[in-house]
Amino acid sequence: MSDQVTYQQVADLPDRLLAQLWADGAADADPLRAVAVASALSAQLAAGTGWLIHRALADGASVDEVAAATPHDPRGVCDAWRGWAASSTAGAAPAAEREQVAAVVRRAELDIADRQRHGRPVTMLRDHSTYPDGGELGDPPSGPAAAGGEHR
Amino acid sequence: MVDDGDALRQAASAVRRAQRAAEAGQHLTALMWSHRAGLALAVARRQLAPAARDTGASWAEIGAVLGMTRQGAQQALGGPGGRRTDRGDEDE
Repeated sequence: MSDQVTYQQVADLPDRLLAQLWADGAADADPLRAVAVASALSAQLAAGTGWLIHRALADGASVDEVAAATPHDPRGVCDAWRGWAASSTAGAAPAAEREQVAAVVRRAELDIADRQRHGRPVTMLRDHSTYPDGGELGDPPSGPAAAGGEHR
Repeated sequence: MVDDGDALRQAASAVRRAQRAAEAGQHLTALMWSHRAGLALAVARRQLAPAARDTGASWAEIGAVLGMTRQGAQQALGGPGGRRTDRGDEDE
């Protein structure tokens, strides 16, 4: 199984569920069901995001770059790691690569501890529609990867 | 303010962008989009929970679909001090 197919499988479920949600108009007609769909997608994405952390590190990205790609949400990074660690692809990853991902998680845990000491939220998942940096949710991401700095 | 439908659509759009980037082998870019999709989903979930309450769902029902306790769902999604606790939620 190629890496691309692995993420394809992760991403397919959100697409299918969201398409079904729009077709049924469930977001308006049955918000409880929409909450359930959003929750299922979140769990699926956590595994996908963890897998992408693993792949980005394997490509040569640094822990700092991975942290910059997942801003304002160290709790989400830890959740992503747990989601990926429980997946079948994690079991097949070399120990050295798993240790790379663990380094990202340790950094996120330190970030969480620091935020808690200073009374700052450990996730930016608040009920607003903008990021702390002022960007809207739909804005394209910025940073070295967005600028073409992928490690290949 | 982004409404719940917008947040869900943005999540879907971000997932597709992440998928395309992953297919192109641009995993760091895909990570950014996948992360954004997760954030958009969280916003949608947070905004949909009060709507579910308005249509008659109890915090226990909302918690059940989120894998949380009634108290956990109310504390996480009900805003400061929680929202209404009518329909006997206190007794659950």
